[in-house]
Amino acid sequence: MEKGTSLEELNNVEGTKGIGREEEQNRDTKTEESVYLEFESRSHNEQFARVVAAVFAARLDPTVEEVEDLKTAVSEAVTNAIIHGYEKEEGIVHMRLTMKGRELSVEVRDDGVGIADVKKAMEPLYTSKPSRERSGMGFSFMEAFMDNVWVDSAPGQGTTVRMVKKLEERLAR
Amino acid sequence: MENGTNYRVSGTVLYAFMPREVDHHSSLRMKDGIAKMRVSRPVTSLVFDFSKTDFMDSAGIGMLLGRYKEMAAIGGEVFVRNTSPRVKRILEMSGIYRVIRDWDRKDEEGSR
Repeated sequence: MEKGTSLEELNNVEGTKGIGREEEQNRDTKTEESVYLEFESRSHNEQFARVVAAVFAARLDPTVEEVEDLKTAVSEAVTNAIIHGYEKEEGIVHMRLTMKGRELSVEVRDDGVGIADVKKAMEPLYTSKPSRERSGMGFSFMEAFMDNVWVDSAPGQGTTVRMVKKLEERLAR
Repeated sequence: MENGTNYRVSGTVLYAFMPREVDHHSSLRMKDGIAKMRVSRPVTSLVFDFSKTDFMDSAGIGMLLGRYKEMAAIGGEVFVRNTSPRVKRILEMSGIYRVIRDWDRKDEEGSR
Protein backbone atom coordinates (compact mmCIF):
# COMPACT_ATOMS: atom_id res chain seq x y z
CA MET A 1 0.00 0.00 0.00
CA GLU A 2 1.36 3.38 -0.88
CA LYS A 3 1.92 5.96 1.74
CA GLY A 4 -0.78 8.57 1.79
CA THR A 5 -3.62 6.26 0.77
CA SER A 6 -6.43 6.84 3.19
CA LEU A 7 -8.51 4.06 4.61
CA GLU A 8 -11.51 5.48 2.82
CA GLU A 9 -9.84 5.36 -0.56
CA LEU A 10 -8.75 1.84 0.10
CA ASN A 11 -12.25 0.75 0.91
CA ASN A 12 -13.60 2.36 -2.23
CA VAL A 13 -11.40 0.37 -4.54
CA GLU A 14 -13.56 -2.06 -6.39
CA GLY A 15 -13.15 -5.60 -5.23
CA THR A 16 -11.36 -4.59 -2.07
CA LYS A 17 -13.03 -5.70 1.08
CA GLY A 18 -13.40 -3.11 3.75
CA ILE A 19 -10.66 -3.47 6.29
CA GLY A 20 -10.50 -2.15 9.79
CA ARG A 21 -7.87 0.19 11.09
CA GLU A 22 -6.00 -2.55 12.86
CA GLU A 23 -5.79 -4.57 9.73
CA GLU A 24 -4.68 -1.56 7.78
CA GLN A 25 -1.85 -0.89 10.20
CA ASN A 26 -0.87 -4.50 10.07
CA ARG A 27 -0.75 -4.37 6.31
CA ASP A 28 1.26 -1.18 6.48
CA THR A 29 4.00 -2.79 8.52
CA LYS A 30 4.27 -5.63 6.01
CA THR A 31 5.32 -3.29 3.23
CA GLU A 32 8.50 -4.62 1.75
CA GLU A 33 11.51 -2.39 1.42
CA SER A 34 14.82 -3.35 0.00
CA VAL A 35 18.21 -2.07 -1.07
CA TYR A 36 20.53 -3.70 -3.52
CA LEU A 37 24.21 -3.14 -3.97
CA GLU A 38 27.14 -4.48 -5.89
CA PHE A 39 30.74 -4.21 -4.85
CA GLU A 40 34.14 -5.58 -5.83
CA SER A 41 35.38 -8.72 -4.11
CA ARG A 42 38.09 -6.99 -2.10
CA SER A 43 38.58 -7.72 1.56
CA HIS A 44 38.08 -4.12 2.73
CA ASN A 45 34.51 -4.34 1.39
CA GLU A 46 33.64 -6.85 4.13
CA GLN A 47 33.46 -3.92 6.53
CA PHE A 48 31.52 -1.87 4.00
CA ALA A 49 28.89 -4.62 3.67
CA ARG A 50 28.51 -4.92 7.46
CA VAL A 51 28.04 -1.19 7.88
CA VAL A 52 25.43 -1.02 5.12
CA ALA A 53 23.50 -3.91 6.69
CA ALA A 54 23.63 -2.28 10.12
CA VAL A 55 22.41 1.07 8.79
CA PHE A 56 19.60 -0.61 6.85
CA ALA A 57 18.50 -2.57 9.93
CA ALA A 58 18.61 0.58 12.08
CA ARG A 59 15.25 1.62 10.65
CA LEU A 60 13.69 -1.24 12.61
CA ASP A 61 15.23 -0.07 15.87
CA PRO A 62 16.97 -3.40 16.53
CA THR A 63 18.71 -4.32 19.76
CA VAL A 64 22.48 -4.02 19.94
CA GLU A 65 22.72 -7.79 19.94
CA GLU A 66 20.54 -8.11 16.84
CA VAL A 67 22.79 -5.66 15.00
CA GLU A 68 25.89 -7.57 16.07
CA ASP A 69 24.34 -10.86 14.96
CA LEU A 70 23.44 -9.40 11.58
CA LYS A 71 26.88 -7.88 11.09
CA THR A 72 28.60 -11.15 11.89
CA ALA A 73 26.39 -13.16 9.53
CA VAL A 74 26.84 -10.64 6.70
CA SER A 75 30.58 -10.63 7.28
CA GLU A 76 30.73 -14.43 7.03
CA ALA A 77 28.70 -14.58 3.81
CA VAL A 78 30.58 -11.76 2.11
CA THR A 79 33.98 -13.12 3.18
CA ASN A 80 33.04 -16.51 1.74
CA ALA A 81 32.09 -14.87 -1.56
CA ILE A 82 35.41 -13.02 -1.67
CA ILE A 83 37.69 -15.88 -0.58
CA HIS A 84 35.95 -18.93 -1.95
CA GLY A 85 33.64 -17.67 -4.69
CA TYR A 86 36.25 -15.51 -6.36
CA GLU A 87 39.37 -17.29 -5.19
CA LYS A 88 41.41 -16.81 -8.35
CA GLU A 89 39.85 -13.70 -9.82
CA GLU A 90 38.17 -10.54 -8.82
CA GLY A 91 34.43 -10.35 -9.25
CA ILE A 92 31.32 -8.58 -8.15
CA VAL A 93 29.50 -9.44 -4.92
CA HIS A 94 25.77 -8.73 -4.95
CA MET A 95 23.93 -8.01 -1.76
CA ARG A 96 20.23 -7.42 -1.30
CA LEU A 97 18.74 -6.42 2.03
CA THR A 98 15.00 -6.64 2.51
CA MET A 99 12.72 -5.83 5.40
CA LYS A 100 9.16 -6.97 5.66
CA GLY A 101 7.57 -6.08 8.92
CA ARG A 102 10.25 -7.01 11.43
CA GLU A 103 11.72 -9.69 9.25
CA LEU A 104 15.10 -8.90 7.79
CA SER A 105 16.53 -10.89 4.96
CA VAL A 106 19.95 -10.75 3.40
CA GLU A 107 20.93 -12.26 0.11
CA VAL A 108 24.60 -12.44 -0.81
CA ARG A 109 25.45 -13.70 -4.26
CA ASP A 110 28.62 -14.26 -6.21
CA ASP A 111 29.18 -15.48 -9.75
CA GLY A 112 32.25 -17.43 -8.73
CA VAL A 113 33.33 -21.07 -8.69
CA GLY A 114 30.34 -22.41 -6.74
CA ILE A 115 30.21 -25.27 -4.25
CA ALA A 116 30.02 -28.94 -5.29
CA ASP A 117 28.84 -30.28 -1.94
CA VAL A 118 26.86 -27.64 -0.05
CA LYS A 119 26.05 -29.98 2.83
CA LYS A 120 29.71 -30.69 3.41
CA ALA A 121 30.65 -27.02 3.09
CA MET A 122 28.18 -26.19 5.85
CA GLU A 123 29.59 -28.73 8.30
CA PRO A 124 31.21 -27.12 11.33
CA LEU A 125 35.00 -26.93 11.06
CA TYR A 126 35.05 -28.03 7.43
CA THR A 127 37.20 -25.85 5.25
CA SER A 128 38.26 -26.25 1.66
CA LYS A 129 41.25 -24.05 2.40
CA PRO A 130 43.11 -25.29 5.50
CA SER A 131 46.27 -23.51 4.36
CA ARG A 132 44.49 -20.16 4.44
CA GLU A 133 43.82 -20.24 8.18
CA ARG A 134 40.09 -20.53 7.80
CA SER A 135 38.37 -21.75 10.93
CA GLY A 136 35.62 -23.55 9.02
CA MET A 137 33.01 -21.82 11.15
CA GLY A 138 31.54 -19.37 8.67
CA PHE A 139 28.28 -21.20 8.00
CA SER A 140 27.99 -22.24 11.66
CA PHE A 141 28.11 -18.58 12.67
CA MET A 142 25.56 -17.63 10.00
CA GLU A 143 23.22 -20.32 11.30
CA ALA A 144 23.81 -19.37 14.91
CA PHE A 145 23.11 -15.68 14.41
CA MET A 146 20.25 -15.81 11.91
CA ASP A 147 16.95 -17.71 12.10
CA ASN A 148 17.28 -19.39 8.71
CA VAL A 149 20.05 -19.85 6.20
CA TRP A 150 19.69 -21.24 2.66
CA VAL A 151 22.52 -21.89 0.27
CA ASP A 152 22.04 -22.33 -3.42
CA SER A 153 25.13 -23.30 -5.36
CA ALA A 154 26.61 -25.54 -8.02
CA PRO A 155 30.08 -25.75 -9.57
CA GLY A 156 30.56 -22.94 -12.04
CA GLN A 157 27.18 -21.45 -11.17
CA GLY A 158 28.16 -19.13 -8.36
CA THR A 159 26.69 -19.17 -4.87
CA THR A 160 23.69 -17.49 -3.30
CA VAL A 161 23.31 -17.35 0.47
CA ARG A 162 19.97 -16.20 1.81
CA MET A 163 19.50 -15.51 5.50
CA VAL A 164 16.50 -14.35 7.48
CA LYS A 165 16.30 -12.88 10.94
CA LYS A 166 13.09 -11.99 12.70
CA LEU A 167 13.71 -9.04 14.97
CA GLU A 168 12.07 -8.85 18.36
CA GLU A 169 8.94 -6.77 18.62
CA ARG A 170 9.72 -3.44 20.24
CA LEU A 171 7.37 -1.33 22.27
CA ALA A 172 6.42 1.92 20.63
CA ARG A 173 9.01 4.60 21.30
CA MET B 1 45.73 4.16 12.09
CA GLU B 2 42.29 3.70 13.53
CA ASN B 3 41.82 0.08 12.59
CA GLY B 4 45.43 -1.05 12.90
CA THR B 5 47.16 -3.40 15.31
CA ASN B 6 49.85 -2.26 17.69
CA TYR B 7 52.47 -4.51 19.23
CA ARG B 8 54.58 -4.43 22.35
CA VAL B 9 57.24 -6.85 23.51
CA SER B 10 58.06 -7.33 27.16
CA GLY B 11 60.66 -10.01 27.79
CA THR B 12 59.38 -13.11 26.03
CA VAL B 13 55.80 -11.86 25.89
CA LEU B 14 54.41 -10.30 22.73
CA TYR B 15 51.26 -8.23 23.20
CA ALA B 16 49.11 -7.63 20.13
CA PHE B 17 46.59 -4.84 20.65
CA MET B 18 43.75 -5.84 18.38
CA PRO B 19 41.93 -3.44 16.03
CA ARG B 20 38.34 -2.35 16.48
CA GLU B 21 37.17 -4.94 13.99
CA VAL B 22 38.80 -8.33 13.58
CA ASP B 23 37.70 -9.75 10.25
CA HIS B 24 39.35 -11.44 7.26
CA HIS B 25 40.79 -8.13 6.07
CA SER B 26 42.43 -7.12 9.36
CA SER B 27 43.43 -10.72 10.18
CA LEU B 28 45.59 -10.93 7.06
CA ARG B 29 47.57 -7.91 8.18
CA MET B 30 47.86 -9.18 11.75
CA LYS B 31 49.31 -12.48 10.62
CA ASP B 32 52.11 -10.62 8.84
CA GLY B 33 52.55 -8.15 11.68
CA ILE B 34 53.01 -10.88 14.27
CA ALA B 35 55.39 -12.83 12.04
CA LYS B 36 57.56 -9.70 11.68
CA MET B 37 57.54 -9.06 15.42
CA ARG B 38 58.64 -12.61 16.15
CA VAL B 39 61.63 -12.47 13.83
CA SER B 40 64.75 -12.37 16.03
CA ARG B 41 62.70 -12.12 19.22
CA PRO B 42 62.35 -15.12 21.55
CA VAL B 43 58.60 -14.86 22.06
CA THR B 44 57.07 -17.70 24.09
CA SER B 45 53.76 -16.07 25.04
CA LEU B 46 51.51 -14.28 22.60
CA VAL B 47 48.79 -12.15 24.20
CA PHE B 48 45.91 -10.79 22.12
CA ASP B 49 44.45 -7.74 23.82
CA PHE B 50 40.86 -7.05 22.72
CA SER B 51 40.33 -3.78 24.65
CA LYS B 52 39.43 -1.85 21.50
CA THR B 53 37.61 -4.66 19.69
CA ASP B 54 33.85 -4.65 19.28
CA PHE B 55 33.60 -6.94 16.26
CA MET B 56 35.09 -10.31 15.42
CA ASP B 57 34.00 -13.02 13.01
CA SER B 58 35.22 -16.51 12.15
CA ALA B 59 38.19 -15.15 10.20
CA GLY B 60 39.53 -13.86 13.51
CA ILE B 61 39.15 -17.34 14.98
CA GLY B 62 41.10 -18.75 12.02
CA MET B 63 43.87 -16.25 12.62
CA LEU B 64 44.03 -17.09 16.35
CA LEU B 65 44.15 -20.82 15.59
CA GLY B 66 46.96 -20.21 13.10
CA ARG B 67 49.01 -18.36 15.74
CA TYR B 68 48.21 -21.06 18.30
CA LYS B 69 49.66 -23.72 16.00
CA GLU B 70 52.83 -21.69 15.48
CA MET B 71 53.29 -21.03 19.18
CA ALA B 72 52.47 -24.62 20.16
CA ALA B 73 55.13 -25.81 17.73
CA ILE B 74 57.83 -24.03 19.78
CA GLY B 75 56.28 -24.91 23.13
CA GLY B 76 54.79 -21.44 23.52
CA GLU B 77 51.30 -20.34 24.44
CA VAL B 78 48.57 -18.00 23.24
CA PHE B 79 46.36 -15.89 25.47
CA VAL B 80 43.48 -13.45 25.10
CA ARG B 81 42.82 -10.44 27.28
CA ASN B 82 40.17 -7.76 27.88
CA THR B 83 37.51 -9.47 25.77
CA SER B 84 34.14 -7.71 25.44
CA PRO B 85 31.04 -9.86 26.00
CA ARG B 86 30.59 -10.10 22.22
CA VAL B 87 34.18 -11.17 21.53
CA LYS B 88 33.99 -13.59 24.43
CA ARG B 89 30.83 -15.12 23.01
CA ILE B 90 32.46 -15.63 19.61
CA LEU B 91 35.49 -17.22 21.27
CA GLU B 92 33.26 -19.52 23.33
CA MET B 93 31.19 -20.56 20.33
CA SER B 94 34.34 -21.46 18.42
CA GLY B 95 35.62 -23.76 21.17
CA ILE B 96 39.01 -22.05 21.08
CA TYR B 97 39.13 -21.84 24.88
CA ARG B 98 40.18 -25.47 24.75
CA VAL B 99 43.62 -24.33 23.60
CA ILE B 100 44.00 -20.70 24.64
CA ARG B 101 43.50 -19.05 28.02
CA ASP B 102 42.65 -15.67 29.44
CA TRP B 103 45.89 -13.89 30.36
CA ASP B 104 44.48 -12.34 33.51
CA ARG B 105 43.20 -15.66 34.77
CA LYS B 106 46.13 -17.80 33.74
CA ASP B 107 47.19 -18.46 37.32
CA GLU B 108 43.77 -19.70 38.33
CA GLU B 109 43.35 -23.42 38.34
CA GLY B 110 41.05 -24.78 35.68
CA SER B 111 40.62 -21.48 33.89
CA ARG B 112 41.24 -23.18 30.60
